[in-house]
Amino acid sequence: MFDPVSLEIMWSRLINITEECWVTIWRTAFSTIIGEAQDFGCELLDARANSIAHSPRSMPVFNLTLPQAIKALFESFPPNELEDGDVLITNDPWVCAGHLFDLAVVTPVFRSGQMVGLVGSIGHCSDIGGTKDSGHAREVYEEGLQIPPLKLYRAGRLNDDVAAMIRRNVRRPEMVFGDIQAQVGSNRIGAQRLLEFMEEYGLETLEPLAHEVQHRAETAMREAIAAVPDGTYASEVEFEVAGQRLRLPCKVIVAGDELTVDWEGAPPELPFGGVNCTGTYAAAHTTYALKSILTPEIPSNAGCFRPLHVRAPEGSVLNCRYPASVNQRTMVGWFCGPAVFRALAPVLADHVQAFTGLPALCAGYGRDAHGRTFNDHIMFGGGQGGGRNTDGNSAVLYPTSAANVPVEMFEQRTPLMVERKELIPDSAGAGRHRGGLGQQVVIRKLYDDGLPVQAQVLPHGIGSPLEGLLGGRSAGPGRYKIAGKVITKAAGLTQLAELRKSSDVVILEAAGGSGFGAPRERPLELVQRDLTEGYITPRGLAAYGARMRNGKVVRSPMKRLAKTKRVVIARPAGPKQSPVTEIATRLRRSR
Amino acid sequence: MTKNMSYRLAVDIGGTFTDLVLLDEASGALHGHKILTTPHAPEEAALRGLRELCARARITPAQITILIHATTLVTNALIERKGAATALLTTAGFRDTLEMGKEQRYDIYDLFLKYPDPLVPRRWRVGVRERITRDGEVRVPLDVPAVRRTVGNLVRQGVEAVAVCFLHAYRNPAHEQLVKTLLEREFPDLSVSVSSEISPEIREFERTSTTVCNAYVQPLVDHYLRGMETALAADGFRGRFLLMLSSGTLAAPDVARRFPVRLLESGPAAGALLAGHIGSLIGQPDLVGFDMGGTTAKICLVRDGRPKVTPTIEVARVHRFKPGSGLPVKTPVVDMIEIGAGGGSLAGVDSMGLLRVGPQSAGADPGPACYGLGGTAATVTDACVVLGYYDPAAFLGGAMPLDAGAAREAVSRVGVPLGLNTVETAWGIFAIVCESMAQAARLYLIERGQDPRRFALVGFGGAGPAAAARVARLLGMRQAIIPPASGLASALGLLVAPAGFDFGHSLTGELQSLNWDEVERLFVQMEDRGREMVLATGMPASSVRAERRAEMRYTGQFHDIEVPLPDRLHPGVVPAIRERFDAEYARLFGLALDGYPVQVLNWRVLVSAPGAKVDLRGSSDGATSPEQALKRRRSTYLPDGRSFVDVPVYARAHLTERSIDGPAVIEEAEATTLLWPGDRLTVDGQRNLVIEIGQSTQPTQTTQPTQSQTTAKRISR
Repeated sequence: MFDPVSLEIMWSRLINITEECWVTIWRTAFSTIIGEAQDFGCELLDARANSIAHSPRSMPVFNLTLPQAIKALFESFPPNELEDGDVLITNDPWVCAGHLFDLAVVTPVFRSGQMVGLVGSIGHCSDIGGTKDSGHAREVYEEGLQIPPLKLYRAGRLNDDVAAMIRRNVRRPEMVFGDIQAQVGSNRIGAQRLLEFMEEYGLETLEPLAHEVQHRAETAMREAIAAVPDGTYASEVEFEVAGQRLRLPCKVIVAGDELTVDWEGAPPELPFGGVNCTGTYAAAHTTYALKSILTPEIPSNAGCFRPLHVRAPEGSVLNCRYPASVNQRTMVGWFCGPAVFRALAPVLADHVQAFTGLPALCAGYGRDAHGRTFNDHIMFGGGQGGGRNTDGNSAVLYPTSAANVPVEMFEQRTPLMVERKELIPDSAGAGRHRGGLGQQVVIRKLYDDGLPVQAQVLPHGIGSPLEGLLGGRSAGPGRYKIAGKVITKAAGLTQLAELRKSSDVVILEAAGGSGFGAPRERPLELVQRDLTEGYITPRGLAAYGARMRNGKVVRSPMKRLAKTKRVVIARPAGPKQSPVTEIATRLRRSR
Repeated sequence: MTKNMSYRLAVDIGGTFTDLVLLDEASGALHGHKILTTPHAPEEAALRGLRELCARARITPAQITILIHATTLVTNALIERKGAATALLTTAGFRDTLEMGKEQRYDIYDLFLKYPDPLVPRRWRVGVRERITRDGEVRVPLDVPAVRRTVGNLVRQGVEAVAVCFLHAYRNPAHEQLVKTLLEREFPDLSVSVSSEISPEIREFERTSTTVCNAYVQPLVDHYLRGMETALAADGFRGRFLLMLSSGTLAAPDVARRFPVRLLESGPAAGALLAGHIGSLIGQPDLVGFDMGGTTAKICLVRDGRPKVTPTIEVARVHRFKPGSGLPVKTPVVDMIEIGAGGGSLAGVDSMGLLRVGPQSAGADPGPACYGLGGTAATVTDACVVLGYYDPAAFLGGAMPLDAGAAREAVSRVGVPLGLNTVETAWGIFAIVCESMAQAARLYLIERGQDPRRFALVGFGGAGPAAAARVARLLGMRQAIIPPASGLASALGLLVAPAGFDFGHSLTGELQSLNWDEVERLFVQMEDRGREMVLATGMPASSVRAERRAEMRYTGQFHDIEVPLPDRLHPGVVPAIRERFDAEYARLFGLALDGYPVQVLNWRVLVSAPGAKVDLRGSSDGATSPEQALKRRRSTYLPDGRSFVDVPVYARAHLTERSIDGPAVIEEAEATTLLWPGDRLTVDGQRNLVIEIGQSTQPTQTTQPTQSQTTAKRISR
């Protein structure tokens, strides 16, 4: 047993160690996706691969999938055969984070010849080979290099064969391997700190301490679940992907202090486009939402997740079978959380959030005038959903923990120019508490130098506006438009375009957040403020049951409340050239 | 009064107190004064303090040759939103950069997190047609008539200050300069801040945020400084008036007017300078400054007698201790971390059934339970009273008696749900607060590639001396030092500050293929401007020096490390710079990378002239012997035996150079120093208390006898 004083001290020390690991990767990374967007996470685990602590800024889903990945690594490399100095690696989407880009790098930590714990991270590498045209991939084989459980280091020595194999299979190998080295270095620092910690406290094993922190977190989670009335809470979200509308039914079953989410009825896996989720990935998104609702203030570890269970039919879009394509699994997986929120809204209204507009991403790839390869990402968020007591924030990256990429930094690394990155007025879902605003980003080829740039365009939530909660309204859908040579034709998937001239542009919109509560209940002074500040335009007043009279915002009679917007799906514009401002305006009007 | 009429005065206006220290340059005598701050008009307390202190020292303000000032004015204006009505001009298409920020959630499980409201409301953020590319070429020329029209409109709406931040202006400032010239000519009453002058560095959000902060506080600072100067002149002050910048250097009021955002955290910066000064006086140039007050503790690394300076700070956080919840400001600032651990930090039980201390604080109002001002929650100060560390009758020299009963009651309430008795709870509170400071310090030092065990800890501030020996022990440090007048440390630090200005500029390139002529020109420009600024503080030209640094990284990385540069730059120095970079990288991150090219992002130079050497012995008197210094013995809790022991209590003013062995308590008016068993204290020639930390093994905070011996034994170094 630990007393409440020592335990608090030791626990926060372990979190500190993971934070130090996080800082090390962040500061030594080479890719925009890790160095600026921070798409990675670090974790400390006990010798049985149960999480003890993770860095506070970790990518949520990575914290939840890494323990699974390590358990799978153990099947190839039993713990009792591991050596001090070994570093394990895998990117198997079925045991790790759901697509090949996410590399798990894991270092067992030894004290007096015994493995006492593990330090690991998952990082989204900038490239893993395979097709850039993910929208057409039918199987995981096309999506890049598959790294089964392997030893990247054997007893402290780099496994040159593995390294050479990785280098040969990826674009910008020095960038990819630089990031892997950042992960290895971070683990090394974490291992060193863990050993110092154990030495200082005279701990021969982490087990009693791990057990204690996990037990406490588990108890808190069980208490939070027990406070929810027993029963089955159901919801459904509907969204568009790969040109089809998918309906995702969700059942949350609360029984005593255990909670199960059953995705029975999830659509079958899709034959192409990489939008399928592996079981581990879908479960991680589901439990992440639950943790945010039930015990947001408790430092996360394995204990939090013991009372939570997730079921999804095998062969479905939430539990796809090998070798389904999985590259862009966020296009489906990011709807898990909103479905859970919706299901629990009637009983936990204070703790859930209306749908948050999903992030969009664009990667520029090609060779510059000096023959150097570039491959960099710009990523940005939509508007956050409203809550029972709060409006959503505008432009927030969710459900990732990423940061956006500075425009100046992106431009310096790619011959593309960002011409606009601005909030879209009227893009927030109306409600007593409205959503945050979405944003529009316009990207143009910088020079007419005849050097083509491949733009990989990843919109989310295309044609998929989700209703708000408890009477809140939907925001617009995510949208995009490409003026350039479009290679992919399927709507609602990763688009690959070639930008050849400075008149070629990509327009991407991350949607706003949905509203919470009936829009007519929103105080008029807040509607007036939003109008004054330009968050809404006079046209947007109708959604709040309001209009202008004598220069003032007043409530309209009931019948004037606008109908839910008809969904318009953006279609690729084809190779026609037109000035960007015009395209931008037209895109806006079409909604 | 001496014949020599040369005096220096330091005035540090803090949130609660305004501290003043007067130095007689001839005799070295120091006079200190502490009065309550007047938040509505901070200059009032400063001027009153000045008059009172002059009267006490029997001098006139005319005899003060230099007055050095630090103030929380800028920090408070940003927190309390008391700045000017500010507008922002951006490149068209980017008016929302300021509001969007990093788009990052600073707490991944909190669905409802809040961000600070932008300092400029959306209606006053206007995009202007213009565009400069990453290479500095003008792609779209500036629409001058639109600027004129827009700003005319804004001024009619009551805008007093304008910030201008265009994309890639660090690369080519032409458009920003055009706007500035235009506005100065046509709107002479408007404050104008342009990003290419305030923070010419890549990353548009941070640069915008910095420029906006500058514009927002500029009218206020200008008004304040003018008021100070006028009032000082009316009092007969004829000397030089200097201001402390966040970088720990002094500048003339004119520089502060142009770069008011650089006045952020100027008080704490001064405290860090004092730690450095003490280090040089006692021949120990590597130290950790530990400044613990009522609300927070600040920890700062001092190397070679100087605090480390970092290029960014985050201010006005929604959650004070959550990075990412505030406004980033790119300005050189003494590198400190702030922890929510002070005398007023509140203790409680969290939802996991664990004892937590801080980061919330009882502040001065209602204050700790023992203050008897209406506070009922237990704080660190209450725990210290319960444990016998503070004498309730001698707090602030007896000026403010404490209510020990209230302290005991508050602490015991916290212990009930934990199953701990009052004393166990009190020790738990004290142990946790020390431990959380030690942990924060450890992470801070390790992130900077430093091993805490190599350093001595300098403890000051109201609560610093009580915690210093314990924190030093937890960090494995061998020594803790408590400077004289530790309650006035920041004001003392002002007296020893160097004059100077820290410049930074982005000019990116591969180390191998840089245009060194261009770089050299950039440095010469910055250094010329810096020299002018330093000369304006009255320093002789011969004392001015420039120290060049570069922020470098392996090409393709995003984060840089700082490397010192030689005085003159040309292609011949490339191998030496590369070598320094690799060595620094390896020191920080374990190993240097072979075969990766290296890139420079920002160039920095500190132009400065050294500060005064001040002897701190000045005010000492009445040193006698430990026997005479011994006031009494007091029952004090010691964790080793988990019991109260009679411990000697000494009056600091009467200590001699003979050593004292712990456990012991040393009292002075503003602070109490604790010595643990195994510690040994001496007073050095500078009147510092120097505590050699005992190497004895001390078990951890064992509050439950049932604790397993193998799992929870703490072995202190």
